[in-house]
Amino acid sequence: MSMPKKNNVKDKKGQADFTTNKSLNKYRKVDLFKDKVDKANHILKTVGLPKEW
Amino acid sequence: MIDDRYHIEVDEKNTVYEFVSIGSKGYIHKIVKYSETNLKNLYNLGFGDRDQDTNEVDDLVVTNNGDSQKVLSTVAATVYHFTDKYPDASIIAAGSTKARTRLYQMGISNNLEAIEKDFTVFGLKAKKWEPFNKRTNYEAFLVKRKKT
Repeated sequence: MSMPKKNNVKDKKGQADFTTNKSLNKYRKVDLFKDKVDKANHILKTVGLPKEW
Repeated sequence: MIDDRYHIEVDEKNTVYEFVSIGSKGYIHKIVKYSETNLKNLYNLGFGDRDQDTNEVDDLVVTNNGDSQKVLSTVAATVYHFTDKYPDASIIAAGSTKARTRLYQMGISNNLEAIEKDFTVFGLKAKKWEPFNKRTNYEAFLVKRKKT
């Protein structure tokens, strides 16, 4: 198992370290929260985006 | 909101985040995933608990771990991090339950002044998007990073 490595990237507020963890890569290929993505797509299709967007 | 939050791990493309909520129910692994939608540069924010035994992720579970503000702050930190990496991205979020949508609503409302310094925030009400208003209960939220 690979050890998490320091990302060295801080968010804009500069207060939190984020550690890169390769084991999370597998979730990119999984349909996590698919129903929510479908719901978002439905909203975007039926309502669209704000005019100002 | 930004100050008190959990340490966060992130995948190599900065789209999947994990942290551990620590509270009265013990250690709960939380997953945040930014998924592509059918619109370019528009991502869905998904958020749920990962079961450590099965690795299954459940976005309907109500944990009640007594740390909802810290969890919200941590999710907010992932929004900052994600939009640092993908500055042209917009994010749509709708809670998996009415309770979770209310939690998002409270999190935004309680920190609106700070959030609006960095983000444009809209809420969905009766099939219309409108600039986020603290007094309105929304069905979904849309955010994008302001250009600096």
